[in-house]
Amino acid sequence: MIASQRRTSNVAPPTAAELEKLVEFLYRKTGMLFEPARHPFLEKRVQDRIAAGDCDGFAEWFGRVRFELGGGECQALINAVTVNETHFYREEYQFRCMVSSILPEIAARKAPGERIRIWSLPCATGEEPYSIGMYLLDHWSDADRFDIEITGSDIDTDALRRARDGCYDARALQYLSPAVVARYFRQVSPGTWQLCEALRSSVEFTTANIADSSISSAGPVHDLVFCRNLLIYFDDVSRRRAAEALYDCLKPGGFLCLGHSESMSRISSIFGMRVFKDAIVYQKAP
Amino acid sequence: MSAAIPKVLVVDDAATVRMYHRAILETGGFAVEEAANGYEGLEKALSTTFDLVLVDVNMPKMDGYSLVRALRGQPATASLPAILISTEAEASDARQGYAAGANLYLVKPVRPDDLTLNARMLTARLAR
Amino acid sequence: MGLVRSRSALEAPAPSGPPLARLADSAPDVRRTAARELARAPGGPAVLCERVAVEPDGAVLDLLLTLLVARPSRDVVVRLLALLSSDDARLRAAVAEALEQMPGPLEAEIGALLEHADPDIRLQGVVALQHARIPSAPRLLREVLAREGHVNVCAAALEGLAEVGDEAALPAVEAVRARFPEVPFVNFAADVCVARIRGGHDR
Repeated sequence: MIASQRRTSNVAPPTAAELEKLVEFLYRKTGMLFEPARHPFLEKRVQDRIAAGDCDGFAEWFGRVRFELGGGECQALINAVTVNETHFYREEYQFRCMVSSILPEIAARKAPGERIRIWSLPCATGEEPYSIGMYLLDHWSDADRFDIEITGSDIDTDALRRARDGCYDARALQYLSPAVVARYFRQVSPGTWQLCEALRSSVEFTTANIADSSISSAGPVHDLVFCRNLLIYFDDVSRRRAAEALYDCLKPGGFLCLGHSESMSRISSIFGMRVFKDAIVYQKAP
Repeated sequence: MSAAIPKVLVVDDAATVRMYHRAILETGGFAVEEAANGYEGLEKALSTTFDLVLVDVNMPKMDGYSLVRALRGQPATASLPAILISTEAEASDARQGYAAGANLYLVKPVRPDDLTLNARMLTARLAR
Repeated sequence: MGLVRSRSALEAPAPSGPPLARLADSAPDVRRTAARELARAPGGPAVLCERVAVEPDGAVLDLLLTLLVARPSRDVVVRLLALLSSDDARLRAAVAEALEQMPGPLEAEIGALLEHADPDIRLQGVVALQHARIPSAPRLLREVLAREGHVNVCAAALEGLAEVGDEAALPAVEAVRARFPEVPFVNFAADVCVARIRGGHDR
């Protein structure tokens, strides 16, 4: 270890006023509001960041967060304070909303034989697009009246390969009921379950990079896009560009779901908002 | 019927202004929630029942006039009392505010008594 | 019926006609495509700036500014600054946000904004300073506070200093209290500012 490196335990926790300043900054930038119950968590992450940056204290570190060209430390802070893990039926309330409110509306304006297109982006190792498929098969009474295309896309080709394989551990399946696991998975080895072939073969996985506007090269063809817990990690300019790309890839009246701690209010006002029973969802103008 | 404590949504991009309005309103017996721009204000106003909304005119993402118009366009918030607060003191700006559907147009910086009295007046019919 | 595999990758048909003409088309989608093409063309950003001033569709306006923000330059910043005097609150807000996302060229022009004759313009300059990544912000805000006579511009400077101010700002903060003794908000904002600045030393 370099002599000048500071260890987290040597960094004083932020004062109450410093924490308030940081909480206001995070709220302004991301829309995430860190209530008092989460302050110990936030303090610890701040100490980690101060130590990692070898800063003299909060003031120097916050100066970097605020003014560094490119906003690297700001992004590192956001990464450090957002918790992300992927599993099946994550943020299930949005799948409920999909089935109870979104799909019925989409279906109502479909011509006979016209496909419904749903996009999961980023899809990582596939939990999200497969969850969409499983959930709507189990809960949408009209699923058999329409052709539904589900596409999962990511920039990480290794993740896509694992997604196509469809093998998962117990942690990924922990929020699924035993009945759902039995219906869609087969245990292939101790600790590993594989998604059934029928579902694996009905999701298309492609490489895509939302930061490069080519995601809309096919035109406005998607009815529903899930873009959850990605934009929060982008800087301001990239988030705007991503929002425009998402807008352009949606059909008029198409819907967009972000992650539960994300809001378009910090990204773009081009989407209308729909307040449904289960969730607030964004919508491209019809 | 409204709850015993009237709830106010304070929408302003300046944190200090939100704190100031919160302090005045809480002293005046109101419960307060905040939003930092017009778009977030719309999300909150459509998700929660408020008795009054305070709306700054100059905000990113969705300005105050647009927010008030959007509220008036939704059944749930069509009659939500709205006070527009602006740094602009021209009569034409007030006219624009009323045309958007605001109940009242105040000029910043707001004095505590003015805010409290007007907030009470606009929420009075809800109190029982 | 049910889940089906996607068909092979679709490609949207290419639009026809010169993009400049399409930028004024009655259909927003046509204008969006034209804007994207023009952004990449020589002299395109200047054309996009002109369209910003007159674009009626909020989503197209946002795209125009997104394309400009991705290509920051002094020329774009100067053209957009002129729009801060617009009567249209939505346009002003959208342009202000875009300017904040171009801190490099904005920093060179911000001094003129902060000394503008119109207090509304000075106010927008102070707000932009608070949000943008401009390292000279603490000093500039302090200087604004020391000389500014308009109460709302001072209030905005106090707001900014509460976030990025340091001890050097404290005299100006105290002085502004004395400048507006009859304005409760100024006193409140000064208290917040001092608490945030001093916060680092209360142990």
